[in-house]
Amino acid sequence: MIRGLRTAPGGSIALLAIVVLLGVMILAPIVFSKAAAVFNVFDANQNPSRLHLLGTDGLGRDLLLRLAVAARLSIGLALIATAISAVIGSLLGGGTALLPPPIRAVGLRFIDTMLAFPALLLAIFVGAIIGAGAAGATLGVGLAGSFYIARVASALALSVAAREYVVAARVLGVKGLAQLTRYILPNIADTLVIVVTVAVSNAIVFLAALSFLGLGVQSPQYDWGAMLTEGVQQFYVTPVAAIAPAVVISVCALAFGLSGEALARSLNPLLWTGSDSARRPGAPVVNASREAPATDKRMDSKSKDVALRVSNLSVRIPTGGASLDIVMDISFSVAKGEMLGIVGESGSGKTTVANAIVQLVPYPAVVAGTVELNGQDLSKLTKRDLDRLLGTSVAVIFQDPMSSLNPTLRVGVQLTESAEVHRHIDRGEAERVAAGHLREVNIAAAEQQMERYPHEFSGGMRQRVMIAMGLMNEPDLLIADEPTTALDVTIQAQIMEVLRQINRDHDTAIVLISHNLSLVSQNCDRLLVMYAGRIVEELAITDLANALHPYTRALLAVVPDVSRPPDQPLDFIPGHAPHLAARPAGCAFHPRCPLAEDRCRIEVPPLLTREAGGRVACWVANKDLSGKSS
Amino acid sequence: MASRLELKDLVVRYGSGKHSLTAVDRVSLEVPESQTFGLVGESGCGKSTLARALVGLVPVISGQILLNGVDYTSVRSRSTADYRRRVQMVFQDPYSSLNPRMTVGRAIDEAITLRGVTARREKRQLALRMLDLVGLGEPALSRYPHQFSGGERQRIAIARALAVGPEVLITDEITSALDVSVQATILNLLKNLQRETACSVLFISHDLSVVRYMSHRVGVMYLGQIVEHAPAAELFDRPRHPYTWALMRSIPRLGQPHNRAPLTGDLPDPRRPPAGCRFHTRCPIGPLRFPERTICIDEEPRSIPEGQEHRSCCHFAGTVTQAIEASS
Repeated sequence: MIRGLRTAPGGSIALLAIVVLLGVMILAPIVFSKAAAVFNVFDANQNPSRLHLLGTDGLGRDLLLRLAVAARLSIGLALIATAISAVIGSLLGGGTALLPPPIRAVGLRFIDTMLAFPALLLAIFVGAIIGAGAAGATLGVGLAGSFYIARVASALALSVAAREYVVAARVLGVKGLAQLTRYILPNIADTLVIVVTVAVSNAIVFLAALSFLGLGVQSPQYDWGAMLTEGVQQFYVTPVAAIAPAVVISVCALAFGLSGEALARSLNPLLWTGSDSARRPGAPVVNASREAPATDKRMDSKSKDVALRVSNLSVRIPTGGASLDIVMDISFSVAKGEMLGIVGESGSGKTTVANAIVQLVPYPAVVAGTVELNGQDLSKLTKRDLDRLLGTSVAVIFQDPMSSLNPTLRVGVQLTESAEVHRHIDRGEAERVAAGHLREVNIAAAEQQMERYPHEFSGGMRQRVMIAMGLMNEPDLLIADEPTTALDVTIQAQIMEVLRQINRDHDTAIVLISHNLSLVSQNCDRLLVMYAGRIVEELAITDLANALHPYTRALLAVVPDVSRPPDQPLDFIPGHAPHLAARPAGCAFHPRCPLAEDRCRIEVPPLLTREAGGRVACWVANKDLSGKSS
Repeated sequence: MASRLELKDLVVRYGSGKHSLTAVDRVSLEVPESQTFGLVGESGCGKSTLARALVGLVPVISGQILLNGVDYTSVRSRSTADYRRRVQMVFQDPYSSLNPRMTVGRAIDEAITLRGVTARREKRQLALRMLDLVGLGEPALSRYPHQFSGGERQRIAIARALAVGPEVLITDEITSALDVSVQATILNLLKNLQRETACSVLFISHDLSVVRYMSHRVGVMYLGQIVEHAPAAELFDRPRHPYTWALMRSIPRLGQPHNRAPLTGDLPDPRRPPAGCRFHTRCPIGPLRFPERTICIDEEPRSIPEGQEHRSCCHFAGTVTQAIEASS
């Protein structure tokens, strides 16, 4: 937990400041309270001197000592006020979120109304009712602050209450209060702590303001606000008397504000256990020779024109220590008119490959290797030519079409936009082309549909719109990243039909990225299998039965199949795909592989070209191969 | 603990008036003792709403929920500790169905407490047994959910639901958030657990092949209604409803050429389901293809029995295969 405090930005400084402040707050009144009360009218209103480092007040009392002594009341009352706010606020806000909807709405409006009332006024109001003095001011500030915390807490709690684990708890029969304390509050605590520490700094300022107005701490007691009041009266004689309490109030408020984030980090178990357990000491990795570039005649795309060639592509994220390799040394090509499938489980790097092709890998990832589109090396192009080439020759379709469509623009505008920019055709012509493409993806009444907004479409229709949008510039390459994963099987069948038709009619090369091996096998010509950031096997779909890599074979075995007799247990691959930060040494698949040998645990197997076509990266399979070929 | 869950003409509706949505419309089904009933359908067919109604998260408008013949139709009766102990649910996404701020030990302990066990040693023994059942060891107790893989998290969620000692377990798409290589382990596990604990399972999924593997009986849902149900083998060998047939044709299969998409069009707005047979707007043997079949538009098909156990709601039930073959 302390680690979390130290690692947050500014955390250690804020922490130090708070320790000092709390120390002063506890010790100063014990040590200095007498000395701070000693008055000497002959020394009244002195400017700073060696005897009085900050000068003296109107009665000749030492200001520095008084500031130190006043810390107890100023900070102490602020902490009490904040505690009141935090308890009332989190219970009120969190509890409101758990109420049945109609009552919840009333509760939320109540909080909103109270929030609309200026907090300082509310504090003055409460203070005035209870009576001017420390108790009234503290209660007033505490109550005023609680609505702010309640508003934030209710918003946070509402989002958490909708999460599945809270629903699961309800099904389990966990009661309301336990839901609040075990499920809601722990999950909003880190954000709430930031809010609360900000509330401490607010309370310090508010209490000072109330004292300044004469409604807070009453003489003979004094806090920073009261000192500020006195100091301001002598501002032209001894400006330090006003400036010093003001500076202390600000520093104190700042320190509490800054410590919030550090505290929040320390409350989050995801931040203080996850990264360590996931990381393993880097075992020595013997890097095998680079991948054999895709030069095999047969695999190299029916020897026709190459639409896409990727060579030695690597993507890594530089982190503090070792960098995270997402994609490692990948080479492949796609011919015009070919459909290539890339299959892999989550974390295999298949989506990153797609993003790297269209230069969309987000910062801070570093991309190495070359991508050639229609024979043009993208790294050699100017920014403008690159945009033009990507805009006109590649289209990408993502899993969630809603996230790639602008919800506030009519579909027609979104369809025609890129064609107008890249192909310099006028709006009317672009609309005619767009309507044509919409019909091509089986959208009826295309002209009317262009007037509608994305949310008016079903998931399947949106994905069709995305495909039509991709077709607008007649691309040579279409990259479809899990295009049907969010859709139902009957709709999936329709979308795949559209993709096949485009591939056939326009000779468009298609890269279909999917976790679904059956889907790829039915629609593609060739298959790349990825595991933990590398290609482990490449083969023609017609050769699927002759797959050599144990991972490919295991994947084929676990594909769910309706025709399998239900009385035998399903095949499965033991273990799970490795975390990127804990990639096993040698062949990443070896911990799950039934054939693994000693060598597999140490050396990364190279991706070698097979005699019969295709490539495979497996020590065991390659041994067999070399045996056969000789 | 064997128990029988029965639903009779169950209706669940969201909202009221013009914008109301009847998510579950007169559904009757029976999960026999110690057996698995597979409920399959696409998004928006009402299968998840049905699950939520069964665990008391959503009120029922009409119809009956019977557990061993005892009526639990009112939401209040489904919120009692007694019902919760008997009927439990496992959710789809193990990444969101476990509290990230609660150790696995505490999560399971909470479920055991609700079962009524209070002695500390007994609780711990039971927790360890639950973890053992799902193939996890003692070290798991002190860890947080994010320290586990997706498959392991789903095991934890299953262990937690079983810790209550339910007689009926409802599982809603429990493998769809997992990688294929891990899915099978969870399915095998659930099947073994069912044999071991003898609980009855309502297994909900969109994936026909998974349902086929898990279930003794299968119901197919479309727009809130069960359009066909039958023993699993029977349903898959001889589907009688065109929607069941289309679902089966839509699944991509390894090593087989792709089919033409069997259905055209999208799911209609469930707020305004089509008149007559709800499937007629997309049906491959309905009025789209055979305009003379106006009965599909005019009249809602009743559930027609064929033999003892096989029922389907289609005016032309059983003619799917012939009709398609004849026309192509």
